[in-house]
Amino acid sequence: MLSDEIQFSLLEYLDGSLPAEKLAAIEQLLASDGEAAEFVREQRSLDALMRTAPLPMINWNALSKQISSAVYEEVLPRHSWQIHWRWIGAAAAMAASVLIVGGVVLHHRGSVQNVVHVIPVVQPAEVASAIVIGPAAETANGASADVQVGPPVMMDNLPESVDPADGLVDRPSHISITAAVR
Amino acid sequence: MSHWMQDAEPQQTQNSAAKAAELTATTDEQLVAITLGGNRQAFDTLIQRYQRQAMAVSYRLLGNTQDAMEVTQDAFLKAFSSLPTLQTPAAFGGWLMRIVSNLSLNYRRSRKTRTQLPLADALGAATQDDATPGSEWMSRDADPLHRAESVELGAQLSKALMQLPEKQRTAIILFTIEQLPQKEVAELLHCSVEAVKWHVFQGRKRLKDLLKDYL
Repeated sequence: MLSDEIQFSLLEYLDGSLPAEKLAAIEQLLASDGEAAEFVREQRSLDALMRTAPLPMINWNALSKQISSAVYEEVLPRHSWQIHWRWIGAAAAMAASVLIVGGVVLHHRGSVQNVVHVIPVVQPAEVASAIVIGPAAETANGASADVQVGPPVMMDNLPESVDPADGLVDRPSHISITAAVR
Repeated sequence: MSHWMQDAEPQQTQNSAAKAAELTATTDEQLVAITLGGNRQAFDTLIQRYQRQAMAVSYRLLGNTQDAMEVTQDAFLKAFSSLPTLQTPAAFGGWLMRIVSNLSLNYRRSRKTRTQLPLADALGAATQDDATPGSEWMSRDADPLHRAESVELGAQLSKALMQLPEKQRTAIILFTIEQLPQKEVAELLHCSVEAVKWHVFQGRKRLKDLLKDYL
């Protein structure tokens, strides 16, 4: 009696899925073991039986026409509905776009109209006037001031190497009012 | 009707027949592309090409001709509507068989009662024109005795398959009978390739016992 393992390998040999490393051993077994050879013969016979067993009589032309009609009656209308809905979707999208664009235009036009309408309503601004009394130039009225131009007093004790005149040229002149008399 | 119109109709029929003949020689990949381009005849060619295999798978899984025809029709409907999602158009046949198998298994599980489509016309009324040379499915043996044996064998196989657990039956039908790749069967059954081999092994053992008189 062949073990399940051997039978399994013999079936793999038959269907061509036997691993290559087992092939030589199985072929040797088939050549030497009558039971193994009989098992393979039976399995081939079973294959042939299953593959050639007839089906009930069927009118293939009628069946193919029936299937073809079913496909085009059931599937195609569904497709056409899809197209239909696609068109409806596109139309709805276009309508929405028109509404949006129209809305934006109206909105902008409305804004402009507001400006136009508001401007006439605004009262003309009154020109404000004010009399400002501020300081006025005063006449000297006989006042006089003594003005001294020269280096400040702190420069009196400068070393001899420093010429105070340099400062008058490089720096702004310093004017000090020493006294004022009205 | 003018003479021109009278002549135009046979011309159109001839053109249509020529186009159909041209499509018959076209590959699955090209037929899928042509169908997606909007050519109705291309899908009709795919229907004619695969309806027998689809019926065989469905019939073996369901054990009932009427149910098998409904499932086959549903499978083509599903295939047509899902065609844009088919990633490998050259593998249309295997893809369709997976749809057929899935629908058959779901049909069997749900055992839903549905409105019968007018498919009865396709049952039993095959004419000589319908016979495809070399067809493996239909018994057209001229000898009445052989024919009767063949029909009996078909019935016995169907009965034997129905006695197998679902996964063993599906693995046997798709892998052993329809010779789909083990990987595709594994995907359909949500299991490994090794598990498919195991289901086939167990199924074969059982079938050998059930059909021993015919071996």
